Amino acid sequence: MGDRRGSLALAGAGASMGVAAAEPRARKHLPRGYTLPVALAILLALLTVVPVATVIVASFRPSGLPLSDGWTLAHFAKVWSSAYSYRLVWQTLVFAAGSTAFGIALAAALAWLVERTDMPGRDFFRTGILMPMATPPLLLAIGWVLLMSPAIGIVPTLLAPVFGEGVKSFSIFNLPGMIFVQGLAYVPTSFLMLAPAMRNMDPVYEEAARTSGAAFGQTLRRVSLPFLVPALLSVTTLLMIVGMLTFDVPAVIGQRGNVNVMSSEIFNLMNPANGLPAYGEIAALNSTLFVLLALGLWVYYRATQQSERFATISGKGYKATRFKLGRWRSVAAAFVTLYFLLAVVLPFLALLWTSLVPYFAGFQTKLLGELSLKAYATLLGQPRIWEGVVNSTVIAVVAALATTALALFVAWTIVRSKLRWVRVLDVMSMIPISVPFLMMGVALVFIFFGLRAVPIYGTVWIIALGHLIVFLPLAARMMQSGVLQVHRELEEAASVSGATFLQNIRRVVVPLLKPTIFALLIWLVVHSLREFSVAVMLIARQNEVLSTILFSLWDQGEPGQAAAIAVILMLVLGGLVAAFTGLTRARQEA
Amino acid sequence: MLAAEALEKRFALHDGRIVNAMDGVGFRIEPGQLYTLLGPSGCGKTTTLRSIAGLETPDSGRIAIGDMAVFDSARRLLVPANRRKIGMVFQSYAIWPHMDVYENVAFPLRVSGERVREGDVAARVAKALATVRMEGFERRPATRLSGGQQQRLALARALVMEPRVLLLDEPLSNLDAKLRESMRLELRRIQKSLGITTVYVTHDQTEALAMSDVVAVMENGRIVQQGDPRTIYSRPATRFVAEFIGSTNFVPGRIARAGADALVEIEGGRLRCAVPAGLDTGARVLVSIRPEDIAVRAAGAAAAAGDGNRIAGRVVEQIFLGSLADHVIAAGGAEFHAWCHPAAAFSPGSEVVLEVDPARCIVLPEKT
Ligand SMILES: Nc1ncnc2c1ncn2[C@@H]1O[C@H](COP(=O)(O)OP(=O)(O)OP(=O)(O)O)[C@@H](O)[C@H]1O
Ligand SMILES: [Mg+2]
Repeated sequence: MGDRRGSLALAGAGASMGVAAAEPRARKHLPRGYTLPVALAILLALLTVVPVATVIVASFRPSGLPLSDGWTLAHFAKVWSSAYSYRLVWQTLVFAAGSTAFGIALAAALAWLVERTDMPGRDFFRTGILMPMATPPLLLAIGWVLLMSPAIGIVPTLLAPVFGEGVKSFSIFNLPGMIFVQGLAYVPTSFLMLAPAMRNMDPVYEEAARTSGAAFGQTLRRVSLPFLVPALLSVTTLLMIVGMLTFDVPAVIGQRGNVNVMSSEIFNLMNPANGLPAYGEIAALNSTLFVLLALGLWVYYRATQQSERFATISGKGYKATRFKLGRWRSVAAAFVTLYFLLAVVLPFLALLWTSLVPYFAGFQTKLLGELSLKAYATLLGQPRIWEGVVNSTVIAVVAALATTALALFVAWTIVRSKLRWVRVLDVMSMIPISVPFLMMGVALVFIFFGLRAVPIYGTVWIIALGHLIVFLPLAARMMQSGVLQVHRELEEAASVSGATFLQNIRRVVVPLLKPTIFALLIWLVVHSLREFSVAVMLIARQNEVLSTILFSLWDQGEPGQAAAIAVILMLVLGGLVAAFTGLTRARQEA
Repeated sequence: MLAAEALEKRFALHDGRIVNAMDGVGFRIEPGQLYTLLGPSGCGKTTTLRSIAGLETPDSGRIAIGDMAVFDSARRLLVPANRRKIGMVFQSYAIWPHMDVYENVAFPLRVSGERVREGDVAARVAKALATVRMEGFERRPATRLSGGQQQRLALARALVMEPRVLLLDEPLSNLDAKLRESMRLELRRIQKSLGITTVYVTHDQTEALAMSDVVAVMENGRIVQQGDPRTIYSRPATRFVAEFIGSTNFVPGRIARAGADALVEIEGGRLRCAVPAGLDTGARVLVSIRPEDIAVRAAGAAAAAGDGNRIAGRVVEQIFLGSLADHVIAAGGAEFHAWCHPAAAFSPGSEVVLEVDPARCIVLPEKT
């Protein structure tokens, strides 16, 4: 019927548009909506790409400093010609793999018992499972050293009268000991990632397999396990990455037994007994580690994309049937209780005991009469502690607020922008996951040590910045799922009503995301308060935080005062975690 | 006045295919008119409406609201949604759940560039709520409203700024049938009393016919016909329009004599029709006859009018629909549906004659 393009617009429409003189405040540029994505891309590049690039460049500089002249491969040659480096990599891998395997096995068993069986008290355990977040790896490690130190640990001194002096020679200052403690520390994260997969696993498949004659073991292997594979794969990669870069357990347990992994070696190189740190070697070690981790991250990305696909397959309308444990019910409950004892209760009691006794000599009845709050009094009398409290608080609050705000804008842009390349923001915000916390610390030292224009080296701000970077990946993810829940038309209604971009964010998006934002803020405050690996690289005299003070007291042989800080920290963290649990519950029920 | 010209919008789907959501859409809406975009799902109605609102950016074309050009791809001009001064009611209503009724309505006043004083805000909110008959609901949380109340609230919010243009995207589709009918009347009453230029999107033809000044029928991203409801219904321009609006019978045939008083040869007879220009003798055509335009008489009964079309046929089936009886009648090489008063129904097997006024026989090209 001929050309109908616009032919139905009655004559005059075009003309009247032509004469339209009044175009109040119209934009003369069509490509709107570029400003924010571009700004965020630049900001994320500065925050995540630049630090990584700094360390990689530094590893090729003769002086080991990124802004110096010349190029060399000497650092890599030196690092990789020494047999010690290979042992280091081997020990790192054993530590990471061992603790990952132990942590996941434990978490999978717990998740299955809580989500898929009729174990007594499962609701209570599901709520309590986040409690170990209040026991960060540093405190867990110190607690276990207090419990298990040969000869003077609480456990050996308790058991010696019964089993003889032989028990006193048992040591945890070795790889198995490190793996045990790190594995315990992994459980909350793994549980949080595995439990939904277990919950969404449609029992129909299991039942179908079992009615078709498969034995329980076969069912598990052929039907249940394949469904869990994506979730398992992604949690495994994540924990392997964390295991290769964590410093808390290697610092507290490994160093005592002279068992070094790459992170503790990097720390030692950064803090030489005399002279300047060997920056080049540190950067070369870091770069190597980064390549390993980038590979890990790539696997993680693939795995999580798969798990999302799997999640959509399993429908929602089924009624989950629970596996009847029968006479194993009490065994299961005892197993879960044992986990809480090992991960929270015993370490906490050990720290509490240590903070109350006049000197540390394990558990002895004669000390019962001498318990006092002296360690707390000494502690609170030191200005250094109060500075630490102030610093930790300022850093936690500032880092939590800044990270939440940045995560909100990044997540909003990724979800709402119509530009195709915003996925780049997603990838950039995930980069810090593959960067060792220590390395991030090193990178910030490299960047700000010589940067007079931004004099934050040696202040609390550099630590807050470090926290912002390392916590960004998780924060951005949490925000993305929040923004996805806000119906697009709610925001469009604001635009049409005349709201500008910022008015829309402030009056519509933020109020609607309030529960997510509060939960994220608390999560960030908890993790900033307990964070150790970034801060330890960045501290100078005036910016010590509680975790680094705790570690230095511990390192200098003041277990009582260190334990006193630990107890206070655990109580504060416990309160915050309880608030977090309440909030996430409220959000799920809303 | 609201005008659009040559709007194009393509979407790339994930599998690489391209959808033409708008393929040369153009229209001009006079002040105070209620203009309806009617069409099946996926034909581009929402895309067109969102382009007017500024929520979607067309690939090319021009849009003007009043004397203000808000989009012109040739001049790289784009006025963002928040400066277009329009009111819009969304299909999901998009009521903000964290505000009460009052705050929802007051929102456009609070975010407007001109600072409105709190007293004025209260007065204008009260006026908007009165317009939609929602007085007394001010402090009700927005989450505690029925579907119809949410609908009214969304309308009040869209009207509070007294916009020049009101955009409505299937505003009644979430309501039950009874409520939909009364809201339809009420919407029209409000629109008329305010005299506000309105674009109304729906896929419900009854709604479109009942409310509109002008109906535009869309198909695959194009407006295929526009006109007042009576014209659209009685003079459909294409087979698609005839089929989409109301029910109709198609009789295949060939033009025997072109002109104002045309003759179409059908199986076993001829039909006199009003033929649109542009179809020549010999062209293959479809004659569209609405079921209510057919008078069914017993075979042998005297003809009502001298020059009407008469086709002999036999009743195949009769379906009782309450207010009318639907007859399926084999005649002229086709199956006709004809609607009669239930009292005058024929039983299956009866020999009958179908009488149709030539002015009710619409000739359409076979292929469009
Ligand atoms: N953001 C988008 N991405 C990809 N395709 C889209 C998008 N928005 C719309 N489309 C496609 O464009 C076409 C027109 O969509 P539109 O929403 O305008 O239809 P509609 O007429 O409003 O339909 P309905 O009556 O179902 O609401 C459809 O094929 C739709 O799938
Ligand atoms: Mg639509």
